[in-house]
Amino acid sequence: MRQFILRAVNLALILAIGMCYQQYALPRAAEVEEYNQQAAQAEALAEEYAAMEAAALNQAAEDEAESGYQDGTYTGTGTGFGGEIILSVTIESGEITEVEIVSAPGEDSSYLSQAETLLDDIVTAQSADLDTVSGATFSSTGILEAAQNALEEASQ
Amino acid sequence: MTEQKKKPKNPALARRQRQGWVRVGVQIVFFLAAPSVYASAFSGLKAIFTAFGEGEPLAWSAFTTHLVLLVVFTILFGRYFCGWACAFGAVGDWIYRFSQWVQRKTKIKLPKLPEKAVLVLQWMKYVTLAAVLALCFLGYGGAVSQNSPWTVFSMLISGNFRLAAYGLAIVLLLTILVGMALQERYFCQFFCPLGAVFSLLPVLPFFHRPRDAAACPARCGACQNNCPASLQLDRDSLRQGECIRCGRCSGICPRGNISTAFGLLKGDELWPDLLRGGVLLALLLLL
Repeated sequence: MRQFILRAVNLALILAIGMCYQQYALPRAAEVEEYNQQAAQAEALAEEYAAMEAAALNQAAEDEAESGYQDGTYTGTGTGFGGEIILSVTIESGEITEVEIVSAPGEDSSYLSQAETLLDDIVTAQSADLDTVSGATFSSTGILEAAQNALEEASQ
Repeated sequence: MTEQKKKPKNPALARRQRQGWVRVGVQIVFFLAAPSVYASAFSGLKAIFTAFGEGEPLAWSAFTTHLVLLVVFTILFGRYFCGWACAFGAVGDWIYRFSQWVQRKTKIKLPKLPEKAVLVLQWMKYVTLAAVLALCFLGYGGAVSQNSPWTVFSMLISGNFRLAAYGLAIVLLLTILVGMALQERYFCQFFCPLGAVFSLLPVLPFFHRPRDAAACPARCGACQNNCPASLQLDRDSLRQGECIRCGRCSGICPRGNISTAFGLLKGDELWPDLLRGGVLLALLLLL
């Protein structure tokens, strides 16, 4: 009985520490996020100005399809944990609009669902040059590799 | 000839053997349906300590679901997961069973670890746990996975044989497999970091197996000698957390002194274990 009470108190303490930590970490993460967004905005503005200057200097620089991707739906294959992962990547007006898993028979569901956050990240970043999700390295690598292959197809 | 002589069995022995084979059956079902739960639950814990180290907030993931599910299940029912559902533990049991069978057939007895060594080695798993979590905290979580025998084991059972980059992990896995053949529950008792977490949890006493020691014959000790964790059942010690709910002690006791559920169950019934297995499997598959 004494054992049980001691252990229960310890577990409660650990949970309490975790919650205190979360109270401190959440606002901090929000601040970092805000800072990063502002930095990204500033960078985008600077780039825009630089582009306008360059355009004013020589008007020939006219690259309408900036990304170089042809519209359409492309599939790509990568090697995940237990075999092939097949993705489909949709390009509309030169931009990546959707990335979906077509098949991933060899992946474990809990690992795959961790790595699936990358699908949205690829759309946001308009690129498959991203970091893997920690804890689900294999599935992530497979997804990124498949997306990279699909994008290579799209840029031909 | 010798087999003919062994055939007449007493009913108690037959019951015990049936209990053992039922556990193997449940383990096979879990091995096929949910082979990576132990690794994903531990990944959940590693992710928490990685987040601590980076100052990032804790985020919920599929790993956390497995971790919380197993922790809650263990608090309610004891380490049922370890004894009946963990793929790594199951492989250890099968290797040990096979090694025992070979030893019986060849009449070559491999040495057993002395009890003192077992008791000291049982502390090692806390060292593993502390070391792995410290490495995650310091940002070396990737290095842990790269050198973990669990990674290689998961790769092998999912048919992934691109193992070139996992030299140390392969050596560790092979060492563990040899240990599993020598000592029952070798890895689980001595090195498993997830087992270390479970053995520190406050387990509700409903499925404890207290022994009515006053009614025991002198110098029997059958329960302790057959326990995969060498437990002394009547001690309220830190080591109570070693129990993996295999239930062998209740089956082996010649006087039926080891009951469970506060005496409501004799302890060697099959349905409570099958019921718990069904609930755990359903939860793992649904969540």
